[in-house]
Amino acid sequence: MSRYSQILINPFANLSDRTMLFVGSIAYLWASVQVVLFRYVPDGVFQQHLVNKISWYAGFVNVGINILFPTMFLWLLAKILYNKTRWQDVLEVVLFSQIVNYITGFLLMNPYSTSKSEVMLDAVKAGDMSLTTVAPFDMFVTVSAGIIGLAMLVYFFYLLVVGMKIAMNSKKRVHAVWIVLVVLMTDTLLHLWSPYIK
Amino acid sequence: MLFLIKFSFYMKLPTICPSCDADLRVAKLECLACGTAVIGHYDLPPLMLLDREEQEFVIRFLENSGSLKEMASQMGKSYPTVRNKLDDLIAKLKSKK
Repeated sequence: MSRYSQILINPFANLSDRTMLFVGSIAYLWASVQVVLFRYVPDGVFQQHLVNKISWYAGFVNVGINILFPTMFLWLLAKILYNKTRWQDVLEVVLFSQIVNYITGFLLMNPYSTSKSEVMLDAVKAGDMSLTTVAPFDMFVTVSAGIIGLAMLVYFFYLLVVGMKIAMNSKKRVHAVWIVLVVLMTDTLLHLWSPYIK
Repeated sequence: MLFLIKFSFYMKLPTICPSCDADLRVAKLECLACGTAVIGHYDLPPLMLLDREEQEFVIRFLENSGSLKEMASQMGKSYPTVRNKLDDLIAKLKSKK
């Protein structure tokens, strides 16, 4: 298996801490700028919604919230299950896994994709439920972006589980369920509480 | 015994019986210089019960004065990956005792 495949399958075992922290931090900066450029709010651990207006610093705060809170809750879970877990390792897992969501944001929230999905939304609003007035290419772009987005969401959870299992030296399958539940709970909590700024 | 430890890094020393899967023990030691042989039943030292890769890990751990961070950076792996390996080795050694 090539080194690139190994990194894609399990970056947390095949990359050094420094590399993961560096790549994760660069991705955080990139995502913070992307949020402002594409004007959307990541109002949940893996959620993204378009807005009309956004301040220049909103990206840094919102993307930071989506790193800080999952890290905190996952670290608490990991501490309960394995006392030796370090918070740095959990932070690296969340920082690195979130890159997948930034890529999803890039694919779905860029002006080109949103213009195509708006065409579909307008058709539905006009009563064309079977989307006969929408050009096949526009549908293809939106559906493709949606499928890739879903695949990315699965990959995001896969990375979180793989990374957390290494961070807490877990060999039990049931721990994967706990990790996914904690992330879903954090996402719901953040979405309802909404500490995000626009 | 020293000979056995040194030799094991070049040739794979079997520690499990290929016939019944039980742990193997030392039955004979021989001086290569004069041919004197010592026959008896001796347990293998704990480190010899580990496989070759695990023994190399222990050697590397000693060479790095027990610094897992240093080991992780040398191996290009993350800290928890190296720590987990060490934890697994400790558990394996404890179970072999």
